[in-house]
Amino acid sequence: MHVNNSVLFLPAILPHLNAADRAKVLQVEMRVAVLLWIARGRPSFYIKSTLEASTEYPYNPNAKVDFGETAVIDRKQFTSGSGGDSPWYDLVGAASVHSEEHHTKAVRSLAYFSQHFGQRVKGSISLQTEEIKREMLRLQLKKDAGEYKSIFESIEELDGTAFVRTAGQLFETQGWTRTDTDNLW
Amino acid sequence: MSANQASSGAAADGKVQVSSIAKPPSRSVLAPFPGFTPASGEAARRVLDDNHKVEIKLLTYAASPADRSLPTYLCSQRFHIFFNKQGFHNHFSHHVLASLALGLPASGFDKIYEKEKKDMLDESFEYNSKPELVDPKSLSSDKKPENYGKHGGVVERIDESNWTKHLGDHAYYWPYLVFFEDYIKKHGVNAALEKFVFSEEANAKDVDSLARFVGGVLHPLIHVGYGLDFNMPAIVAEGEPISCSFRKAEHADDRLLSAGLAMSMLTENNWRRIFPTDMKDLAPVSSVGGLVASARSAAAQAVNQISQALPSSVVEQASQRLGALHLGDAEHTGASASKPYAGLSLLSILDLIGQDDELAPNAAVKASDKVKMRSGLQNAGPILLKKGYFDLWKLTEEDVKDPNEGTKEGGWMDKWEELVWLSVLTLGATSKPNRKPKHDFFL
Repeated sequence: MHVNNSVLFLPAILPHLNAADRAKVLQVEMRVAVLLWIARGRPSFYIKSTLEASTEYPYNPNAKVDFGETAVIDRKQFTSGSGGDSPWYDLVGAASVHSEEHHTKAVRSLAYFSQHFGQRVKGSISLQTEEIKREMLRLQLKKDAGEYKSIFESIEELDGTAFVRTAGQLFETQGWTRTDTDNLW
Repeated sequence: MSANQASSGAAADGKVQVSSIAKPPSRSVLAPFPGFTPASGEAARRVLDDNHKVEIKLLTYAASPADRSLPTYLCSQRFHIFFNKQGFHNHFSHHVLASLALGLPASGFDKIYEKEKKDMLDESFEYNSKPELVDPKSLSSDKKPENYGKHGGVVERIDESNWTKHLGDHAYYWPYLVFFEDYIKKHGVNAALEKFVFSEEANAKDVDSLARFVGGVLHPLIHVGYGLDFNMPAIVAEGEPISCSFRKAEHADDRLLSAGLAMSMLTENNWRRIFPTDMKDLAPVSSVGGLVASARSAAAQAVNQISQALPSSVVEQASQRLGALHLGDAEHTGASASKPYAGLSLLSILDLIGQDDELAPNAAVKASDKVKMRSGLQNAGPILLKKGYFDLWKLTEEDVKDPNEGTKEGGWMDKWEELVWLSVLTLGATSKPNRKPKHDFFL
């Protein structure tokens, strides 16, 4: 969560720094991010069965957009299938009034990441398998290259919908509104 | 009314409260969404102002009332950056600015304020009682006042000579805040970041500023990020951070920046465990990709010069060949978030770490460990360093250049994208399949 919310600001910070300091802040962010991932139990990445299984069209189940006589969009009919309009309108709108501020910030980060990398197609993000195997043997992590088993499940499935799917997941865990737990909103 | 006008009108030892934030935040330089209106900007300003209201206190010197050659004013905001003794961060301004940037209408900001007041803004919390700032020279070591160094007591003023003396001391938030506000006004934020976060002096033993900057789960960096996000265009456009910072002295942004740096100074340096002592291996390296890029650029330039003296048919032929060889594409030579100029991509490094039994789940960090970040640093940190995993992420000179202005590609964009994928995947792909997702809001 905090890695997500801090990576957002690197493009705001980097232009203020000289080349050497840019390298420092990137390296330090990377080290903290890797360590936090290990501290969380070094989870594997279930790209196909968790990320891609999350909907690409997360709509606010409470929202109904009525454009008047010409169009009425009831988001409920789209939640399980294809999209009616961009889910980001719902996501951004609901995040802006959400009482859990980490959630507001996380959705803002994901929206920004999506503005940059949302168009990445499947296959554009890949692993350097040969190099990984080479380093694995050099560091004697395994005896045989055949023992390599990627912790990324189906990375070839990863594409730019990762951001909207993750934002939808966050609403699943945090609720679209917090009226049930918090009567301020 | 400016802070200076107010302070000059203050009676001795009296307190005067003035509005500190006269203008709405600037639009976000990162992600400006539609919906930021005059009304929402003003509503955000109003609640931020109440939170950051300047309290001006004309102070006497507790230990040496005779020495009044350096009158001291404490211009501070209302709430400490920590809202409890464990050092939990006051996120109020983040919430306001993030919602503002996402288009929250004006009516929403009072609700945020009400909620945050309930959760973390408590004026009676002892951290929020302001200390008296005194000149360090006016304090004799054997005759310090009883409330010296305590919240609401007497604390030394921070200047360039003693800024490393009170690191980690929560009572020193206020003098650090005053010091950084002043420094940023005089020298600009770039100079402040260089001097107090990145320089060799700032990273001497036990000063460890860079470690503090990302300590407390990255909060000082995030806070400074907010300051720059809502402040940067003027600085970059004018290229004169000093005058800019003066001009924007009444903006929330300056307070966020100084508060972020002050927070950094109070934060623990425990991340130092995973940074090299001299930080030399954090420096960018030369790369073959970089050399190829400059060679291509030089070749393209040479061809361009020659072409001006040649008949057009020859030029046309040459340009076709150039296109085929991508010689003109000097800005971006094919490196990407998956295929870096040098070393391994971040996701590849994670996959490699994923093959290491010493770092497997329940090895270095156990599910039963109470403070997992601490066991991560203590147990996993040394293994990561010893096996050189971090060194496999290589930043070349190309990787720290600015991206191409038109395409926004190349330069640091590739390395940033690697971090973006890591952050989205740790959030969205690590929940166990076929179960309700779980997200860690702490780490």
